[in-house]
Amino acid sequence: MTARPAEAASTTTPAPLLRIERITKSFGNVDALRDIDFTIGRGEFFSLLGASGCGKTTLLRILAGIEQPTTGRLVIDGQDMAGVPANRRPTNMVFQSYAIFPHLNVEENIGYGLKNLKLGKEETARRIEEALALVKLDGFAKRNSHALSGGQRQRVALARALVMRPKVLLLDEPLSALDKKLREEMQLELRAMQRTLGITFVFVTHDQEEAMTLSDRIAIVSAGRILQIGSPQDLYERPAGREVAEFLGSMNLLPVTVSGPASVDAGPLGPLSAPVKGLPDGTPAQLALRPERLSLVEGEGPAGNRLSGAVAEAVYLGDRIHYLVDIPGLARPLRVVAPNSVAPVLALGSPVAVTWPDEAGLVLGD
Amino acid sequence: MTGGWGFKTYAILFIAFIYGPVLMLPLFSVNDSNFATFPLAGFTLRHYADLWTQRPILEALGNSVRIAAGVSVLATVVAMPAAIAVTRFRFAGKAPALAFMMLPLVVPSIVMAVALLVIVLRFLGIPLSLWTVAAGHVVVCLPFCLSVLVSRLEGFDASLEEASRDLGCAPMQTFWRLTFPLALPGIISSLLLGFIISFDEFVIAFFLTGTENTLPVYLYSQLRFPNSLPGTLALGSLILIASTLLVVLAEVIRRRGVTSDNPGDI
Ligand SMILES: Nc1ncnc2c1ncn2[C@@H]1O[C@H](COP(=O)(O)OP(=O)(O)O)[C@@H](O)[C@H]1O
Ligand SMILES: [Mg+2]
Repeated sequence: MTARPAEAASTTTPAPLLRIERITKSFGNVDALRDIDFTIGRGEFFSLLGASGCGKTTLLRILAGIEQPTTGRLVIDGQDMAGVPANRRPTNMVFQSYAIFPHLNVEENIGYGLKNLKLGKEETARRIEEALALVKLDGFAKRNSHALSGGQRQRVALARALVMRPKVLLLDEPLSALDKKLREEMQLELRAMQRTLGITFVFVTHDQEEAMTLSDRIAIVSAGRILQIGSPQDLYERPAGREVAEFLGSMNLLPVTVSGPASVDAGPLGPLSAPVKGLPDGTPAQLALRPERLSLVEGEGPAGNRLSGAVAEAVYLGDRIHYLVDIPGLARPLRVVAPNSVAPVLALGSPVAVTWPDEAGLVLGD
Repeated sequence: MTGGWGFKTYAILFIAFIYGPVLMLPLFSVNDSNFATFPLAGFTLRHYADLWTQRPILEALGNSVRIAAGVSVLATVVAMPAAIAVTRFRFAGKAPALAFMMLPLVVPSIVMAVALLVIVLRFLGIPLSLWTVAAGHVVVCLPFCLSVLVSRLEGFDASLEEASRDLGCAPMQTFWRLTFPLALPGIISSLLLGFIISFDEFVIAFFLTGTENTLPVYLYSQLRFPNSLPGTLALGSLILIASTLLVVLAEVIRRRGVTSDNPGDI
């Protein structure tokens, strides 16, 4: 599986600021990263999305210079980073633990790195004030660092990195320790901040919704490899494979065999229509269907892609209704998301047909 | 509750056994007699007052304080990089290296003293003096200082140092601006501990000293003279009080450092 064709499919890629060239990283006999190769554009909000332990933090630490790649090359803004230590890179990091210096107050934490820039007293004070305002901590300058809430610590960590005006800001799951409401609030703020400052953000998360909300582009990481890179829409609508399809959002997968340029054979369920790209006849594949692209009709329903079954579960969520539909001949029930319309919620056991337009189906090779 | 009663008796006997002899020291030091015997003759502080007129005692005290001060600083300075290496880096042979540095804890001091004596006289050919005592004391203090510093440094997040690097500090700047202030409680308790150990140490000082004495060695040499016994008792009591205070202080500082969730607290 290669990342490059998918990347090329994305619409506009800004001029690259970071070039990550064939980077690998091993810890003893653990291969944390394998052949990572992509670029990140200037001013992009770029996310690394993947399950815990897939290598996201390791990649971020290599960008920061805290960790050295085993092989490969990293170029930031035209400069090869080989031999450039962390303290001389144009990057700054927001650590997952926030790493707030406990012996310093808020202002001293934010000014910690500025001291190294030797800006002079006034400029330093001005920048600290600006940073405090940016993260909405005005008035907290003298606050002791251990008298801060989780959200405030997060803001201090962010301000401390941003005040350095890095070319690239690295964020390692900065919101994962916050509660849901605060997290959603911070997501909006981060996005707005990134737009106004124009700084390139590399954002690590294991939360797909967060990645979709924030990112210009997302790289899906799994077991030290990049599965696909693209805009949220690319990844959601045109996943390059089964793993990506299942990772982002919810997906129904039906085992099928390719039977023509626009048709697949679903075994006991009969022939179904779907656009097939680049898979010869007879190839075993998966027909991927998003729950929200499926419709439920009572009774038989119209001709076309249609599977008959019975409602096994209905969950009323206000704006939408989640159904599970048992289809005879299919091991797992189909998930269907229906918008809440005036029609009543279908009763359990009702005979229904699940239908969808041809182009809603995506045929993925195994 | 016979079990509780039995346990209480045991605890009281235990404490009496340990502290009884020690408490005889202050008791006889205020007894108005030249002999440490019962019955007590009456209360006096003259043994304490006499102390200040005895030059040899004051000289020995001065020697001990100077050695203890120097040793505590040197041992702490030497132990600090080792403690950083042990807590921050993974390297081959770390466990054996650490065990080796901790060895003086379990080697009997008489063995240590003889070994050091042989090394100093035979291999190095250095004449015995207070300097050789100090060198021996550094060896004895190192493992104590090291374990105090290691327990301190283990307590804080390694990403703090990474953050400092990330914000533009070279390794030495990171040490002075971050590691040192955070480790300060550990450093202070390491200094106190080193001071007490060196100040109290007898065997190595006895073997390695030249013509000048440290206080413990001087006190021992005075035991032959009955007249100076009360003075010895008075001095012993003072040392007892001072050491107890220092040990308690060192422990309080160490405890607060370890349990506090804010490593910057002292
Ligand atoms: N310093 C290290 N030593 C050994 N293994 C490590 C080290 N850092 C990370 N790893 C391993 O590398 C893999 C990726 O870790 P990490 O980058 O932290 O994942 P993520 O951030 O995606 O959860 C994991 O299997 C982890 O155990
Ligand atoms: Mg991680």
